[in-house]
Amino acid sequence: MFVRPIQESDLDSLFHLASSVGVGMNSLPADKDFLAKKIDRAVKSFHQNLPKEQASYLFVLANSDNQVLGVCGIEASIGWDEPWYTYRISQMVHACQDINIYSNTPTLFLTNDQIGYSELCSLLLHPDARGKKNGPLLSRARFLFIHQFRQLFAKKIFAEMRGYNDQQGQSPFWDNLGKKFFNMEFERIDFLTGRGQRSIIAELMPKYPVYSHLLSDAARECFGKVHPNTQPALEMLKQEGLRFENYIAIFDGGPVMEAYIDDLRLINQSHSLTAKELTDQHQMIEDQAPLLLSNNSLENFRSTLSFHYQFEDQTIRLPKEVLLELNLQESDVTVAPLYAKDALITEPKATS
Amino acid sequence: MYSLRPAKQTDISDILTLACEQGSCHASLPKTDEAIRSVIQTSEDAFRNPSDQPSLTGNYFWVLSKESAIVGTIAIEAFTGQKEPFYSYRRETLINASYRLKVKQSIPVLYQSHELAGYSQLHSITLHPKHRTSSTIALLIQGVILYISEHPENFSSKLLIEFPGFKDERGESPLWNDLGLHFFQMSLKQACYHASVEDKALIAQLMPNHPLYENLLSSTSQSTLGEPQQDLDDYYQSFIREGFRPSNHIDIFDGGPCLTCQSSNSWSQQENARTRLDVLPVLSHETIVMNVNKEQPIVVLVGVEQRDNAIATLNLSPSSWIRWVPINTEEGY
Repeated sequence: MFVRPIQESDLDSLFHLASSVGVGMNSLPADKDFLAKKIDRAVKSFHQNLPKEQASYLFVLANSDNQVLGVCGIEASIGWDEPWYTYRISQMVHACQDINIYSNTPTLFLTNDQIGYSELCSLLLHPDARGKKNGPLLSRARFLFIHQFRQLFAKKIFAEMRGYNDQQGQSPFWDNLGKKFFNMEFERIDFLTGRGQRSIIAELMPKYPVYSHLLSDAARECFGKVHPNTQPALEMLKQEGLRFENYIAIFDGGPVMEAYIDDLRLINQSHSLTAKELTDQHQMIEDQAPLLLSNNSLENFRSTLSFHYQFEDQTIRLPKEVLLELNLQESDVTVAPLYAKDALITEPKATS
Repeated sequence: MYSLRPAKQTDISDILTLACEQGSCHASLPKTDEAIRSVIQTSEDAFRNPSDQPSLTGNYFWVLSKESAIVGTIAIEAFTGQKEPFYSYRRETLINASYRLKVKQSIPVLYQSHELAGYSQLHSITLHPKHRTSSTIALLIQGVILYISEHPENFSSKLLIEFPGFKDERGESPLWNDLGLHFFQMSLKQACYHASVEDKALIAQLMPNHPLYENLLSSTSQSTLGEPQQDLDDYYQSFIREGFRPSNHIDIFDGGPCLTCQSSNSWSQQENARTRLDVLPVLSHETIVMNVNKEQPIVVLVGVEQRDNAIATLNLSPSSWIRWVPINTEEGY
């Protein structure tokens, strides 16, 4: 399994993948024309044919038969073609000492504060490919890419997480807020936002601050709450250093997780090393802590995992199949422990 | 015979008794000895103001008496928003529309406003329940408007009356419970008490100052915004008859309607006459008659058969000037 840039020939696979999920995966609708445009934009981006404001990097997870089993993306800098909206939850205090009054009301302010940030988006893994650390590989490979091509991205990065909705697909946040301003079901909103109508809808949302006590308890509980299926992705982002900074999605109240790119765990723990073949692999029976690897190519980027490796100063020895998956032109690789907890185990020796 | 005159310090205990009775139209009537004393002091200064310049902060406090018993009150604040900002919510409509999405919806919004500053506000209207009739209500309203006609330089060209808003069967205000209660953590009554003894603007400043979408309020609040308290319909109708109309402003605490009227368009300004007392015609209706004394005005309600009696009450010589206007009630005119 490895991660590589998407190609035009991946359209059918991507369509198939997008068809396998329902409401909530709104940035990848099962719509061939739409997906073809998305791929086209990504291909141009990898060839550096688009300005940063339009660049979008899409990656696929492929197996040795080059079968596509997952997809993930990074928008280089969002909010330029059309504004990006979020609600910021701010505190509003009304107080008067003379008559002993103090009240603090969380209040929603509509903002465009994420404009210019890079965005992690479009993460989708086929159900058949779950397990075997494929999910962590797919989502984290992006951080190695960002690390190597740091100049292509912004100072900050964020991910808008899918918010809570109930088993019928109803979002209490939507029903209590957005729906009162234009009568549409959440499913329809989700559909439209997926097809690039996001800002048109956002412009119909209330622009003045919303005192949260005017919303129902159920709607307030949705502030920053993810859909149960999104919980693992949220945990992953937290481990990588993204944090909830009181911004939420305007339609379903899902959390916006954000970080300074330079503070990301994976980026701080990655190293450039020279790769060599691991010849005495037979001595290693047990798996080591998984190591995330990538080559250093932009257009032919590859990232994969290795469970067997040896560090020798500035060199890393890797199994032959891993080297093949990395499609190395030269011998330079970037490595980082896949998980934060493994940092010490896999740290290569410092240069003397 | 009912007569309306400026309140005096000797009226304090009578006013206090009245204030504590039922039937108060407006919560702002002071309910302590000291507060009433201070209100009367301010009022006496306003009536006595000798200068050509109007007293901007003047508050003219009147009492209605019958056979020397005090049975009602009314006051005119010459110009609102002088000592402290005058707060109201202005109701507006935003249209939320998208041609591409085929969506169009009206969104009513409440904006905190000081637009009603500079009006002459009628307030502190009280009548003892036994004396609450369409005639006495008309006398209060028309009486003070006669005074305004006589001394227009002391008042605004625009008149205002703020009505207490809708209350449910437990006497609770749905708007207050949706909004004010959250920011104050106290009942509307307590808040009104604080507003009357402390600085009212201080209290108003604690209210939410961002615009409020009405559709986020409870449905009860939404449907009762701008509705007057139900038991005040007689007062409400009297103001309507006088020419007051609901504005797009409501009270920030309980959502009661703010009625306004161009002073010159009020019924009593249009219909009153300024004549000598001896040419007052034979009355075919109950009539409100006022002397033209700035410091010591007296307004009396004169029945058809009481013409001569009234002339005696006003204690004027036949050659004195008066202002008079027929009473404007459903029965009377």
